Amino acid sequence: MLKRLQAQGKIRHIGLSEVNVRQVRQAQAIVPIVSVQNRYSLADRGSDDVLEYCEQAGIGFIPWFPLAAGRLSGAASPVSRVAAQLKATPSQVALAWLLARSPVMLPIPGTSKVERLEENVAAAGLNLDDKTMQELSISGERAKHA
Amino acid sequence: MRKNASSRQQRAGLAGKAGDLAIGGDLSVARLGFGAMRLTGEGIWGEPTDRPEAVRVVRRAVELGINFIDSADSYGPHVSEEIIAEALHPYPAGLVIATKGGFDRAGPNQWVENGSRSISSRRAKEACAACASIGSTSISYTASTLAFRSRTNSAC
Repeated sequence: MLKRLQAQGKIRHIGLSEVNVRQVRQAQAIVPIVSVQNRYSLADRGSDDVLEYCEQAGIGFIPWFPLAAGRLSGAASPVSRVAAQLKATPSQVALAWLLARSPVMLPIPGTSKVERLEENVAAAGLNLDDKTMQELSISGERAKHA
Repeated sequence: MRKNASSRQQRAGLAGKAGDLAIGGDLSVARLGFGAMRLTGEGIWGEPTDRPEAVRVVRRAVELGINFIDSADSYGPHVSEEIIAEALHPYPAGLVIATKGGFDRAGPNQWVENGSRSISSRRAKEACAACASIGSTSISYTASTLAFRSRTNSAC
């Protein structure tokens, strides 16, 4: 059906949501797949293998619930510490981590407030060095096992 | 950072600092997009408490250089896509809107997988109402897992 809508020119490209690597491969056998949208964040890395597959295949990876860093953003957490160092917010650090994690990563933080939107978009200008990336990645791994 | 982010004088194109991603090799978008799920009421259901602010959010997103908006017919349902249309139609060149099928909504926080119905009947056209109103704008359609499965089971 999606293939037909694409042939009719109603849709340009086809993506998938909440899939594993096997399902992406199955879909690719039918139509070109351009994006995958799975739940993913610093604190929720269950789709790391899907992300890596997407990176190899040149498929965009759209993490939903990108700011699920609640468990990581306590006052003494690495996310909060990095945020304080960079004069940023924990949410901005979580977004900057996603952007630096992979060149095919396309975060889509949502909000109903202009002020929060501006805060989120400003994360695009936040650069994390390798050491900081590593520190944050490890903290995310620890939270997963906590 | 937060203070700077709130500045109305901020130059357009800030989202572009995240770099670009060429979706499907031909749709180049800033690698920081906007998710429209929160444009609805509580439980991703009905009208938002402040609709004019929701419309402003979508317009401001584009001003800041965002050109990838993710939505679904099931957000509201339909509310997020109506707000996108109200805020941005006629759509600027280069804007990419992704939408999804695969769920029916019975009430706040209720998500019922609708399987093949969303892609094998007229509901698909309803689900793609945003596509129909978009005209020249490029659309990428994000199928749910279930929609994909049912598609493989059907003859289309």
